[in-house]
Amino acid sequence: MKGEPTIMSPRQITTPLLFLTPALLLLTIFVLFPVANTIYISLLNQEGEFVGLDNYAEVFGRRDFWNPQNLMEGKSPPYGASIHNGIWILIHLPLSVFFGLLLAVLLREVKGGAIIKSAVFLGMVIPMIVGGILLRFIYDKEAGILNGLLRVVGLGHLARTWTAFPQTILLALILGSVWIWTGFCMIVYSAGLEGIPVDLFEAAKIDGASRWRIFWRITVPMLRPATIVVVTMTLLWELKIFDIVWVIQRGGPGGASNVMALDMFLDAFFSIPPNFGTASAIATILTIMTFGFAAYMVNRMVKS
Amino acid sequence: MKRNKGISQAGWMAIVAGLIIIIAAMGVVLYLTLPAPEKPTLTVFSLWSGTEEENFLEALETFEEDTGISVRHVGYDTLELLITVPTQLQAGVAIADVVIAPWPSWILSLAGEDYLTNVKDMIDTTKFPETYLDVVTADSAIYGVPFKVSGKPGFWYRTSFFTDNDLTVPTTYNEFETLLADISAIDGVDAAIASGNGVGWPLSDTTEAFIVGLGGYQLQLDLIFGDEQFNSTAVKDVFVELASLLQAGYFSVPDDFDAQVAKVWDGTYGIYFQGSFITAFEPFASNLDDVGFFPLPETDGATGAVDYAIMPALTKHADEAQQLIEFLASAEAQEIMVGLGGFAAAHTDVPDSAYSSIDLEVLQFLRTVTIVPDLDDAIGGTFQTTFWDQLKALWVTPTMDLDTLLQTLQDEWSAPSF
Repeated sequence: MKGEPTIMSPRQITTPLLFLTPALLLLTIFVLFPVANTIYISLLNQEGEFVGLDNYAEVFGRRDFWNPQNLMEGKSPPYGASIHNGIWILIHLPLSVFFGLLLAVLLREVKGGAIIKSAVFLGMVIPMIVGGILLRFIYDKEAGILNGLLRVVGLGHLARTWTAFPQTILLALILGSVWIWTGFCMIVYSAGLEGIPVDLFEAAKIDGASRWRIFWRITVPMLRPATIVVVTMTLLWELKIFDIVWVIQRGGPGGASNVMALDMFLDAFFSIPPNFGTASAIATILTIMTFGFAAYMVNRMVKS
Repeated sequence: MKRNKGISQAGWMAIVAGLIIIIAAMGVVLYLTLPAPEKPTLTVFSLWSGTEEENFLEALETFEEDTGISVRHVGYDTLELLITVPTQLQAGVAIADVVIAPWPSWILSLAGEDYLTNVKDMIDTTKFPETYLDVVTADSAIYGVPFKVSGKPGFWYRTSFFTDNDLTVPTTYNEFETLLADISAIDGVDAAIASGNGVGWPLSDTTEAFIVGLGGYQLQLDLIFGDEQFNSTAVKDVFVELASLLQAGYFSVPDDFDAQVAKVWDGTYGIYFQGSFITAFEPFASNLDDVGFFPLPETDGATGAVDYAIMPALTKHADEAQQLIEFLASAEAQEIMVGLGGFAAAHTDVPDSAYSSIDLEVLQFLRTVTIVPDLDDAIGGTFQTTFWDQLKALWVTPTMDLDTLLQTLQDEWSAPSF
């Protein structure tokens, strides 16, 4: 009867719990405990004494983490790891999403599109370390395809090892990683496109809508769930970017390509003695940021 | 209604129990009849690859033949080794039974965590220079066996390149500057000095040569031990001079160490500052008659790096690892290694006759100057990676603010562990 509370039987309560327990147990051991422990360690100094938020203050006080002065003065990087991550998001996110959507839409109706999609997706399939090594070759002054292209179009005087210079390395890495990540965006969008009823497109065509109008009025809105997934995953990837940066110049030269995850890694494994306090502080900052973004986007996805 | 005549539950249980007993019995029989385990294979981690690795493996053949113990070698790059070993030891695992590395501070930091075995009783300490052992000694315990020594004597070149282009080896700093200008003016030469990259150590070796050459060996020692600041006038003077050479375009853009060796040989670059180990690299190794070196003129010192063999306390093959440590510390092993080129022995019993003429030339030069520890190897930690990284930036942007660079180095300095 309406309004009457439903009383669940003990079996109805215990059965879901029984099925949830293994997953909850694994989550607790491998996610919740490490997160809680990392936060705890971030409050300790190298001697294991409680120091409150000192590690956070130290991290934000460092030039290699937060150095907006160069940016304000219009100088080349380094701007600090956190700002580099921000720049990564500002450039990489829109480009990856744009190219992913563009390729998904264009290749949908192209004969042999699946083969081209597979080729584009290769960047995503290969390990990031290998992707980084490939980028090193692409940007190499002698062997690189980029400089080869410059020479072909008569701009050989611009040829240089693009990853060797503080002025160019960050942009080179970001643009290179667009190639690596676009495949993922394209695949998610392709799957999203398959989910849009064909009737909608046909009806719009009958009504005389242009392709452009169909794209903006039907395709883009209907792909909103896919966009949320793409943006969320891309943001998380950008925040925890490490492997490409590591393999190309280890955050250099002069810290010009340093990122937060690398900063954390260096603190934990290169300091003598290891500075797990500041490394954990950076890890906690990263966790809060990624969790915040993810929670916001998932919330939007659920609502949509 | 017919009763099911299948095997009862008790019957199934009996079958399973019987199978378990049979399998267990077979396991016991198999174990008892197995031949005695062969001697284990030891795993050695080091920084060597290519020719250096081949030479090391060749040196190990004697050990393997004498003891019947085989050795598996895994070569890492600098940063990989710096991370891999401590991480494995922190996790309570020693994949390597012996590790060979040139970083005293790193070794003592591992020893401080009780990760290493005291090797004092495995070697005759009177057969090694005290300075080699002091830097890996803590509380009277010795944690590293000096296996071989690589000096950083100066600039390497093809003698035929100098002859063909009427170049002369400089004896003063002014002559050195003239030489750089002369080499740069040669057709087909991209830059006078090749710059090696990788993680950055070739640049730090070059920089240290200028610190020692222009500031004196004592400046290098003072920087290591904190008696001089990186942002002092003395250090800045050295960096100003280095930056002026960079701005003049005398140094190439950094590229992989190996690639630069080949480019020096083909005349793309004129000279290359490197350690003595370059004579073990092709095409130098096969053409030693055409190889020469000269120190930075007027220098009173040179850096030297000792490769230490260390033994993780967690090794599962302690006896065999000890045998290997004892072998590596022996004059016999070091003589074999020296004979293969590129290095000096740490053991004092290795005769000069064991060296090739060019290696002996290096050794004789090193005997005339004061040998100081490698700056970044001695300090270690994040200073080392920062030093490499800042130099990579300086090399491609020599107009960068030197005060900021030197302050960054000073901020990262920490007292060495020895």
